[in-house]
Order: sequence, then C-alpha cells, then structure tokens
Amino acid sequence: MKGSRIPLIFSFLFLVIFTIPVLYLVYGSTFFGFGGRSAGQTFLEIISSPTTGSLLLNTAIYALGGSVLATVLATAYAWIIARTDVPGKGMFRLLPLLPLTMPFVVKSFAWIYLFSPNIGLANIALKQLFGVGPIFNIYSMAGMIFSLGVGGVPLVFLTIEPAVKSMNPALEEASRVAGKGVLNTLRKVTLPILLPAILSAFMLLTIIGLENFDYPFMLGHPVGIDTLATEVYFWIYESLPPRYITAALLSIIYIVITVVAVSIYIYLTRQTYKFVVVTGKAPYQTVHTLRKWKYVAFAVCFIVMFFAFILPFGTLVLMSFTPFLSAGGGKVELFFTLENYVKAVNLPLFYQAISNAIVLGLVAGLLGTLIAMILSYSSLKSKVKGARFTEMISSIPLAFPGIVYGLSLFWMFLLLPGVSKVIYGTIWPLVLALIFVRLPYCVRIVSGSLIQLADELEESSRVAGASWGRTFFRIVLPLMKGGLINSFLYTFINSLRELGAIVILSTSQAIVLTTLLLQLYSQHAMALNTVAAASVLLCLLIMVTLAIPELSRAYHLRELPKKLKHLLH
Amino acid sequence: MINYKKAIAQFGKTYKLSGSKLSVVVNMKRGVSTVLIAMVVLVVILAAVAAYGWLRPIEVPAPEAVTLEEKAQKEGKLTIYGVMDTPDFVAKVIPAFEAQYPWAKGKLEYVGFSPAECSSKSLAEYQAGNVQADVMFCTLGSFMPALQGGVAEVWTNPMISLMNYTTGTYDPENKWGPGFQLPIIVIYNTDIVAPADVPKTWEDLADPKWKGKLAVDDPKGLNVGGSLFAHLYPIMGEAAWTSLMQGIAANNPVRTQTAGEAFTKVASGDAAIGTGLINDYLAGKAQTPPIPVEIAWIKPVTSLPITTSLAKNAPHPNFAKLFSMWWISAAGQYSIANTGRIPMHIPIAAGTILAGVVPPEVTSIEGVASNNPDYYINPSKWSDKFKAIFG
Repeated sequence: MKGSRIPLIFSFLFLVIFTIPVLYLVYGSTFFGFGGRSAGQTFLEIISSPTTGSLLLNTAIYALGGSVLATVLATAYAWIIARTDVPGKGMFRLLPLLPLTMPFVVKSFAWIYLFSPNIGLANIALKQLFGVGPIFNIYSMAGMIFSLGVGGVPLVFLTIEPAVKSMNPALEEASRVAGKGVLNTLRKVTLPILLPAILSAFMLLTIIGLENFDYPFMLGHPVGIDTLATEVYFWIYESLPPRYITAALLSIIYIVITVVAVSIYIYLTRQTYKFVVVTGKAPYQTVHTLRKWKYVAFAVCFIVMFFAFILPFGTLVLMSFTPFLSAGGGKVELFFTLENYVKAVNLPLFYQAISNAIVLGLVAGLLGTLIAMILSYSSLKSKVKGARFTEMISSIPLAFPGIVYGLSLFWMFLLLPGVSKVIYGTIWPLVLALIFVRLPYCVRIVSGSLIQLADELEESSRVAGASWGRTFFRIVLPLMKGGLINSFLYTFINSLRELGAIVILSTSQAIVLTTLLLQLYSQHAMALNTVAAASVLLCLLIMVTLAIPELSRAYHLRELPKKLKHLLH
Repeated sequence: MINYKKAIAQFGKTYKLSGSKLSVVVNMKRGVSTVLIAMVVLVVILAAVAAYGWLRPIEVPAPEAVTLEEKAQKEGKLTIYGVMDTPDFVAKVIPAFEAQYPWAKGKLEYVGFSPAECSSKSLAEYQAGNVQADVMFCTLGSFMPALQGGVAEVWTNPMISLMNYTTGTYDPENKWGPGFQLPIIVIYNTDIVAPADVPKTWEDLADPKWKGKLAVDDPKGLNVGGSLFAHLYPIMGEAAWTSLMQGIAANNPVRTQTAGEAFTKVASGDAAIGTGLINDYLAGKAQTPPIPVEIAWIKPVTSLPITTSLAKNAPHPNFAKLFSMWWISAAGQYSIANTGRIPMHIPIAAGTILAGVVPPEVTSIEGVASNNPDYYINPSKWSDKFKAIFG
C-alpha cells in the first residue's frame, strides 16, 4: 500500500515542476518588462485597445472555422470508410497517417507555393488555361482556415473513427427496417449517436487551432491578420524594446480562453465515456451498400486525402526539384534539378538540426511516455485518496499554448540560479517544452491501453504475494506495452513537427529542423526551393519513423536475430 | 677588442685589427658612404613599409595581439550573435578567420537572427545576468534599445584608428564600432513592372496601383523599411511624410520579418516592387538564370549600418576583442566583401563590391537615418509610430 503512493507523489512533483516556469513567466515579464509602465496600466491599455478585440476575434474565427471544416470532412470520411462499401477501404484507412508526416510549417510552405495570389501554381495554371484569376489567396483568413481544416482532418478522423466503428449497429438497422434511407438514417440516428464523439474531436481541434502558431505566423501575419499566438511572439521579437509585460498579460488572457476550451473538451470527453452506445466493441458492423453512389463516396474520400496530403506533398516535391524561378510574368516553366537537395544537405547547421531533432524526439518521447504512464496509472489504478486529481493535473498543459509555455521556460532557464549557465541555450529546455506540451495527449494514449486492464490481474498478483513494484513491472507494464509504444511514437513524431513551443527557445546549439526551415525561409533571400528540398527530407524522416514499427510488425523483425542464427547453423 | 675612441680619432684611416680572432678591416672613408647609403636605403624601406601599411593597413598590432591571442586561445570559444545569413557567415567569414588563427578552428559559434530578435535576445540575456554572446553585430537602429539597455562593453578597438575608419562609422563613446553596410535599394520585378511604371520618387510607392504588390520588411522592427522611412521624415516634413506612410499602408504591403524575405517576394514575383538590400540583388544576378529584378535608384540612396559591439560581461572577452579587431581589419573586411555585403571600410568597399554597381548619377550614399538623430535616440517611439500606421 505504501508503494502505491509513489505515483501520486510523482504526480504532485510533476505539478510543481510544471508550475515553476509559469511563475518565472510572471516574474521575468514583470521584472524586466515594465519599461516605465505598471502592469495595471499595461493591462488597461490591452483591454481598451481595439487591436485586442480583433486579435480575439481572429483567433476565435480561425480556430472555430478550421475545426468546423476538419470535423465535417473527417466525419464524412470516417463514416464512409467505416460504414459503407466504398472501394479502396484499406488504402483510405491508411492514408490519414501520411498527412501526419508533414509539419504544419512545412505544409504552409506548400500552400504558399500553390495558392499565393501571384506565384501560386494553382493560380498560374488557372490563368494560363482559362485566363482567370488570381482566384485563390492563401494570405487571408479563409486561407488560414482552409490550412487548419485540411491539416486537422487526420487528427479528427483518428479520434472519431473508433467511435464510428464501435457504434452499436442495431439502432441503424432498426431505422433502415423502418423504411428510412441511408442519408435519413445517417442524419436521424448515426449523427446524434456520434454527437459526443464528434463534439469532443471538434473541441480538440479548436484547442489546437487556438494554440497554433505556424499557420497564423506564415499566412496571416504578412498581411496583418494576427492571432494571440503571433501577437505574443511579436511583442517579444518585433517590438523594440521588447515588451515582456504586454506579452505576459496577453498570455494570461490567452490561457483563460484555452482553459475554457479545455474545460469544455474534458466535459465532452467524459460524456463520451458515459455514452454506453459508443463504447465497448460491437459484435458486428453494418455496411451500407451505396450502389452507384459508391463512386461519389470514393471521390469524396479521394478529394479529402488529395488536399490533406497528396497535393501539398506533391507540390513540395515538385518545388524541390525546380530551380528558383520567377513567376512574375504569370507563367512558369519547370526544369529539373538536384541542386536544391545539394544546397539543403550542405547547409551549415543541417546535420546539427537533424541530430538535435532526433535526440530531442527520443528523449522527449521516452520521458514523456514515462511521465504519462505514471500519471495514467495514478489516475486509473491507484486506490489512494485523491488519485483522480492526477487526471486533472495531466490536462493542465493542454491549456497552455506552446508559445506561452516556451516563453515561460525561456525565463526560467535564463534566470534559474546555477542551472541557467549550464542549460540555457542547449536542447534541454526544448525537451522540457515538448514533454509538457505533448503530455496530455500521451496520457490519453496510455490511459486508453491501461483502462482495458482489469483490476483482477493486479489483485491476483498481490494476493500471490508479489510486491507492488513486482506486480507493476511483471503484469501491468507488459500489458500496456502497445499504448506506451504509441505514446513514444506520437511524441517523437510531434517533436520533429513542433514549432510554436520551441521557436522562442531555439539557439544555434539548440536548432532543430523546423526552426532551421523557418530561419532559412525568413532570412535567406531566394531560398524557397532549398526550403522545399529540406522540407521533403524532414517529411521522409518522419515517414521512416512511422514505417519502422509497421515494418517490424509486418516482417517480425524481432525474430530476425534468431532466424539469422538458424540460417548460420 | 676595438678601441672606439681611437677609431673615431683615426676616422678616415685604415685600421687593421690584429691579435684578434675576428679580423675586420674598416675603411672609414668608405664607411661614411656605406653608412649614408644604408641610411638612405633604410629610409626608403621604412617609407615603403609605411606607405604599404597605409595602403594595406596593418593587420594586428604585434605586441598586444600576441598577448591577446594567447588569452583568446585560453578562453577557447567565441559566441557571435549577428544578422548575416548563417550560411554566408559559416561559409565565408569563419574560414577566413580560421585561416589567420588556425587554433580557432571549430571554436566559433554563430547564431543568426533577424535584427529585432538579435536586439531582444541580447537585452533579455544581459538583464537576466546570463550573457551568452561575446560579440553582437546588428542593424544599428534595431540594436539601439539594447545599447540603451547597457548590453555593450565600452572598448576602443585599436583597429579603428589604424585602419582610418571615417567618423560616423563608429560610436564616439565606443559602445559600437564598424561592421559592414548594406545599401538600401528599391527593387522591382522586370516581368511584372513595365519600364514606364518603375517608381521614380518615394511618393510613387503610395500609388494605389501597387496595392497588394509591395513587399517591405516590417517597419516597426526598425530594420530596412523602418530606417529608410525614418530617413525620409526630416526631408519631407511631418505632413507629407505621414501622408506618404498612410498611402503606403493603404496599399496593404506584405510585411516580412527580414529584408531578405521581402527580396524573395519580389524575385519570385509574389510582389511587384519592394525594398531590399544590395547583397541579395548581387547574389540573385549571379544565379543562372539571373533573377528578373532591377534596381530603381530613388534618391537619396541610403545605406544600412551593421555595427559591432562587445558584450558587457562577455563569457570570452579576449576572444571577443581578437575577433572584433580582425573583423574590421583588411582580412575581415575582405571576408565581408566575399559574402556580397559592403565592408564599412570605404577604400576596400570601393575597390571590391561596389565597383561598377552604383550608377554614375548616384553621387553619394548616406548613412540611413543619419539625418534623423531622434530615430536612434528614441527607437521605441519610432517603433510605436510605425505600429500605429502599419499595424
């Protein structure tokens, strides 16, 4: 019983470690940020400024708009895949994993190459073919919403699909027997049943949209459409002298908004668990026969994936093999060259950025998964009073936008006596940022596997005389292996994709691929195609990481040493 | 043993020293002429050396440099914050420094920033008592808030006088010294802009025909756009200047983080015209095929000063001094010219990068905002002014 308190103590320790940077944010910003103004005066300025209103509005429109688009697309996609006889189901089930290999910042490069009003390939093609345009403008609120919407499809799909698959088909069948058509059944039965799952996926993407830095920074700011995330960044790095107090006060407003969103999300997620119809595994699934409509369904799925991955990735590849060309004349001729890849791999910090990204991903993945395992276990299995509190603790980082937490860590590592001289400027602050930002998701992944383990297994072990530690390592850990591997992979891949949480912490020693790409894009003239080449290499790195466990599973690579040994004998 | 008194007394006679292992015959008559010739030769040599030193300035003063070099070598590492593209600095500047100081190989760490980031980061680290950079080189306007915050060490770089740097290229209070300069240019894409439409005056930039077609680095960052517009303020006066700024803002210019990004927008055709720096233009013209960008030489032509400061409480102060001395020596300035940027040392600049680029009608290049001291004294006021106009 004494041992079972350890996870709880660890959870409180985590809470303390998480809180320290936040305190440093307040301390650092107020101590160095006044510039002759009081916090109250600055707060009044922020509240009374019309800019703040437009910032809040922009942030809300962007997050909600992108989330609505992603939810609609992903729900349709998930329903078609899970509940109809659409051709190519297997392929469409795997395809949503591919967009995850493209970081948001990389996708924004692709959208610029495609939908920039003057040099976008799509606009040029329309002008050349039909003499119209420019029709698309990615540098707009609509462009930002489109980017977040199609970029969020995979995440929403992966959240909704299990609910669609495990839905009890009896209700749908009853509707069909009562004479309702497929669409009527979908509208009156399926969607209401799935509503909690859809809403929770919607809220999850809304939170991601609220906290997102990449798209607003790349697509909105150049034309004056700022959100809270970009505004915090610019009060630090574009304001002269930097106004830390303004950035900190804006961060507090920012956190209040995300806390509300996260609370709604947690409430909806709990409701989902309570909704017995969508939990548990159904014995069989109803497959709606679409007949001639199945080709329409196929087209819908293809178009969704086309915009989510094929088009942006294809554009990046095309640009990476093209020399720098001006599209000023409204036409562009494409030539083939490998020069951009040569330039990319010869970038002075390229290999350092790759090795940093891999080390960062490995360490953040391992530590994040370890912490997630302890928090999940405390929340779900510990019998100690107050164990449920740890579930709340693990959700706290969800309410901290990456850019705000990055700023908090910046101050902490700059000011922490003794530690700052050693750690500031290295990759370790980035590791911490990534762990905290990704932790809520890791906890959910690990909890998913832990919740399926019946308490009887542990109780039997304890009755047989095993200690808590022995029970944990011999019984619980092997059974939750799948969840732990997924959590590690999730953190590793997202470490390679992250920009917002690390952009403030990045230095020459602590440079990773996403920050290198951003630096190259914004500081080096005429480097667009080199950026495309380096982006393709980053995507390939993530693809290989994703493929390794799948290949391992498919070819039983763990058996390989034994097989080799057998062959040698 | 030679008796010098006798020797002087017998000046003009031939002496034969005997009984000595060393047998020297000194013909004093010939000796006089030899000495005179030797003196003349010596004077000529000294004059030649002096002239050489004047034409090709002395690299590093010998006695101090040796000591400084030893101290720098012991410190073992140097961190530089700067606004030059990282690839250029790493490929062109660091190898030149390492060629002169082979022991420094792999010891220079360079961090490239946008000018506003360079200023903010240096200031935050200094205020927090955790100085990381030893040397900072940054756009003067952007770096002014950091300088006012006390980030720079007061130090007289001996190379300033040895190299005859002109007044205005360094701070009389020795908080900043020379670095390099970047002539600011107005550029246009020749595929988009017809010759008749090329802007000829600053007022032309406010023409509504450029709506959505103009790229400029964010003026509130006080880099190229900000300093250029601040230069125009005393020339145009409050009313005309405000009207011009509002006209440009009404054209919804694409605001970029850096001048390099603005240049890319014009070169790629994403924008028709924009502000940029001459080094990007030269690099683009050297490409195959060359980029379709040309310069509209609108007067006054100005140049952005990139100045160099030693960090106060620098972790490696001697290495920082050694680098700063090399940076403004002939070798350092030539390495800057190799990156396509303009050395601050005028004779080197004239003989290298600027040769043949500037048209004859441009008779002078003024330091940007040199006519507007308030811009450098009150940078935050100007940053706010631009934020109010451009958002």
